[in-house]
Amino acid sequence: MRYTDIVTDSKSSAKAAWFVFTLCTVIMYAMTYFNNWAKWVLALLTAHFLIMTVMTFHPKVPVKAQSVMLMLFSFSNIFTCSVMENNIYPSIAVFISAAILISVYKDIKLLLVYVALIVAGILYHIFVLQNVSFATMTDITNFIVRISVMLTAQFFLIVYVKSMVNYGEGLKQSVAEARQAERYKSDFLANMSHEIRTPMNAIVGMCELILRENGLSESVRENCFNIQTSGRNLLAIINDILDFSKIDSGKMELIYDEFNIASTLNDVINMSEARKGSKKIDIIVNADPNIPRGLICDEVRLRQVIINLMTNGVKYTEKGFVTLTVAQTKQDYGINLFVSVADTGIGITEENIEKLFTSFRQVDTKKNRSVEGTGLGLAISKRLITQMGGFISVKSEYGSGSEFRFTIPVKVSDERPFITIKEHEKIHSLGYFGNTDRDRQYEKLFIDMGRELNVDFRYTDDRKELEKMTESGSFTHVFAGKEEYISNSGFFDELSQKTKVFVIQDRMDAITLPDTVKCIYKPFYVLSVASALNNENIVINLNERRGADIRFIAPKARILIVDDNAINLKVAVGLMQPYHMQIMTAESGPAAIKMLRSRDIDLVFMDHMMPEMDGIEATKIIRDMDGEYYKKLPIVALTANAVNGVKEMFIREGLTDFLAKPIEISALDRILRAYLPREYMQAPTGADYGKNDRRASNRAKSEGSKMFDPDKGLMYTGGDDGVYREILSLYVKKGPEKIDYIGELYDKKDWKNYVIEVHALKSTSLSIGAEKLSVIAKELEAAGKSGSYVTIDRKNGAMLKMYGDVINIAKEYLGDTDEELPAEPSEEEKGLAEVTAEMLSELIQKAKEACSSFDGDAMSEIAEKAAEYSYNGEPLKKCFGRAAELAEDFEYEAAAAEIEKLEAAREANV
Amino acid sequence: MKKIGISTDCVCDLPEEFFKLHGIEIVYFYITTETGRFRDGFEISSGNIIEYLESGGKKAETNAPEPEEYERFFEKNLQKYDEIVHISITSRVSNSCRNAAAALEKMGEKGKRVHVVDSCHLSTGMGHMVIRAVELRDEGKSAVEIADEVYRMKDRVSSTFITMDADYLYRNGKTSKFVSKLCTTFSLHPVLTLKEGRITLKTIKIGRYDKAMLRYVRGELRMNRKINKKRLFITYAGCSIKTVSEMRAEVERLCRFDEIIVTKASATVSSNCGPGTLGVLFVYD
Repeated sequence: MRYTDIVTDSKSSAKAAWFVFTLCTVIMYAMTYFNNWAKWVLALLTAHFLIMTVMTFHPKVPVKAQSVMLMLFSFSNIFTCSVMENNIYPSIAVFISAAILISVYKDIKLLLVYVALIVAGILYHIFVLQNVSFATMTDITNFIVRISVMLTAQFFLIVYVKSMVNYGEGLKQSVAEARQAERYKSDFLANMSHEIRTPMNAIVGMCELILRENGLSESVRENCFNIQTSGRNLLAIINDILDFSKIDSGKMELIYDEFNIASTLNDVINMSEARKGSKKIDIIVNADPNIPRGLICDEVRLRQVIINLMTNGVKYTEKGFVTLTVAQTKQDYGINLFVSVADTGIGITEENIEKLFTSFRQVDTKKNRSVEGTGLGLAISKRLITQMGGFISVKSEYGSGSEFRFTIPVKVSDERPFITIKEHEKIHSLGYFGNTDRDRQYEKLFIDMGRELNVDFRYTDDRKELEKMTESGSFTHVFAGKEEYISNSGFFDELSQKTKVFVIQDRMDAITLPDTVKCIYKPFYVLSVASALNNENIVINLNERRGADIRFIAPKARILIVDDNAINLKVAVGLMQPYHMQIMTAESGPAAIKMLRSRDIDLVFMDHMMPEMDGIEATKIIRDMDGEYYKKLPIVALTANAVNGVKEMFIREGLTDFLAKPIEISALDRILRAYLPREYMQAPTGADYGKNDRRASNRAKSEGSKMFDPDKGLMYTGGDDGVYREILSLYVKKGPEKIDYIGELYDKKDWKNYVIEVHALKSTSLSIGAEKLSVIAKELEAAGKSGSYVTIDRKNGAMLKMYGDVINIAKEYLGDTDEELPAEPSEEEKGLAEVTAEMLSELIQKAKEACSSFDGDAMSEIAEKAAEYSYNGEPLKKCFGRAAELAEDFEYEAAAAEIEKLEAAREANV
Repeated sequence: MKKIGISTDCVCDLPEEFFKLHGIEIVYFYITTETGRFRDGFEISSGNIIEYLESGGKKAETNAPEPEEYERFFEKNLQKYDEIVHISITSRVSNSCRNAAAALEKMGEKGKRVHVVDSCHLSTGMGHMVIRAVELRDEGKSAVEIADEVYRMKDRVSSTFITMDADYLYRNGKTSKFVSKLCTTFSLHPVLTLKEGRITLKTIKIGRYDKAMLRYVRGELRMNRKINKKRLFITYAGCSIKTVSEMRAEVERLCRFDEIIVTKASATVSSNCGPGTLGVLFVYD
């Protein structure tokens, strides 16, 4: 029973009592008529009925007053009846009935007063009317029995009502206690989550820093990667709990601010692509370009909901698509923003749909055993949408997929569409895709985009028709799928001489295109198409991109990237890595301002849309800071805004330039060339070229992509090509030894150590991008643990063969060189300052002290410092780095020996 | 041969896939809450509106599309079809039919290519008529023939619903507070029917609601010899899957239909009848 039910219960009882009272009144009218009672009785009854009716149905009359009046009128009516009949006895049963009626109010005092009135009435009959006879013993017995029955009935009624009252009170108290407990629970969860979140952030952050370090041993890297992954998962769970408890306790406050949906879409797409990983699914985005440019809503929470739905879609879909649709309908108050996330995943049964939005429920746990999560995501999403005044619902067909959709009312601050196309009437586009399910999705998307952008978009899946249509040369833009391009590359290459040709392909699986053919990375959606049509120089082909990669490096340049979204930061950092710049990141405007106090940043990339303080506000504060440095510092806006004139707007607001999201290397290259000091730019060496040349990667992929995917390895190792190659060379170097060792363990049937080795193989293979080998190793690890040795017998040979193959392919990828550490110092290393004799002595001394006091941290710090210098042209990083690595593995003696070798060399030189 | 389009109001409660499959164009009704105005079935569902009202939401006005919207709707569809037969919710409970007619007047000559039929029903009662219209279109009948036959069909359609109580009927001004309280206090469950386009009380079931629902289903199907066995809709709002399955089993036990389609009521219908509403809707021979 709900608390509100208890409160409303008494009101319903009053209505029921009134209903019975009305029936009794009708009976008394009849008695008055048939027994010829005085006329005033009719008047009295009518008055009572009218008053009672008004009191019962008037909303302002309290239930208490109704109950008192009912009691008085009931007594009055029955007493009148007894007086008219001149006999108290027939009325006794009616008195009892009325008492039952009054008891619906569950008021003990009222019942006691009523009993008192009845007693008074009886006394009135005995002493005033004197119509109760006590003449005979029978009369006396008769009187005592009737009165006793009546009083006993009243007594039981009072006891019953009392127990009901106590029960009700108990219930109310239980509800209050339960609510209080719920509040305590929410507060506790909120506090606890916050307390855990702070150190967890530090753990994840520190892992990130460690992973960025060069020269980590394989096991340390693997352990650190695992800590980071687990930390991130835990952090996500804690954030969910924190959000949920905040919403649950009513502490979640939405912060309404102006935002542009382009930025939200860009973030959502980046996150979803990252979550998608290696899954063979397509993310399709269908966004209405006419959505107003300025919307007012809590963008952070809106993005959270969309990302949550997209993550679920990606999580539960193994093949097919996850389609994000964002649309709008105009309303008096602004717009209704409609978002739908449809997938072709496992779907949900009807029974489970009922439970879907409830807290802590992950439906179909048996089928989804492999899917992680707290089951809070949808509950949070639902509550957030409800708080925003909207509605969320789900449709699903078990086994075929689901569609989550929500609509929220949103106010509009700028009516203009968030995407505009320059001279749209002059654009004539043609789409050429195949006829698979995926292609049909693209066809629909393409046609929708044309309609919404008010651009002539036509579509064909027939090669002959394509030729016919393009013959006249009336099309300004032609879009084709990757497969369609590959099958007709000659035709498209020729076509690209006279019209703009765009090929849509996956970032992870891109092919090389000729200079004249442009590339659009998936997801193919209105923002990227608009950029292509607007010719905003953010879509370029892969060749240009590779050329851009190696045009220059700037090791001395210090760059700050500001973005509230960690994935966006990672993407930006990854894209800037090839320039060998010193990259710093900040997750908010205030954090960026703090970092700029050091005045040693050369260029800032500032995200436009950030919570609390947006990019423009942060820039204004920076520009107002004291010193010429802050006035001249180049600040480039990062924005997903694909509208004409946006650059002018940013310049007006104090920014120097703008870089569109998704970031493309050519645009980034232009910005870096324009704003970095000339003296910082150096020509890349052959080593730099090799490090950044993805052609090698593509070659490896094309030959052994089933077994080994360097792009994935690069992704798993944090995006640093140098780090990745270092790990890979270790993997290659140790491989043959490991193959022999695993073979040996297998022969000896030493399952304990076999499991340990295949476990290590599982994670190391995954981290270099050999997913298939990792899967087999995982299977054999499980088989070893569960004692299923038949599986091991069956698959061990295949696994070892694949291990050997992976090593060979990886070797080829590394360019047939043993890349432990670069044999020749790189350009960067060549630029190192020569260490002074004093400084070298100090470093050696400190390193020896660190080794003798078993202080690994101190050793790492010393190595970090030493890395800034060279000695006789040799970077000190080599020796100190090795020593630090040994110290990290608790090999302090060996570390000290390394330092002593250097000391000996120095003494020899002296 | 003329290309005939069939269109209807979203409150006909047919499944979305059905519209897509048979090329039926729909025009949305609106639900206005304290926070905004939402398209029924697209932006707000039956479950949404019931949950909203049950959790204390006060305002849930249902509105038919304005004549201007009908005009746009017909104009757009006349680009695809030569003539349109539009089947509208009963004019006795909504302005939809009147607004559609007003739109046709504004459209002048073009309006003559649209035939609006007052179904005199709602929910899947009206859905039966839409399906019939689709069948007639596929048989190659003209728009006028379709409109005439569908209109004549209205007397053979049985649209009845049992509601848990009269609370939502009272909230929407369809009955008095007294009747509503009476129903709540004495476990009375009204069975409503569409009679000449009006929602009227057919009978009252007393007692436990699950039993009352079963008695309702039995009562509706007792004359099963006269019922057309081709198709029956079970349309519900705010009922558990278990309850709906039980009712379906009862229908199957009592009468053999070629097709039993279970659908959720639209938000408009749900906001008027409340949670626990269930109807078995069929056509007499």
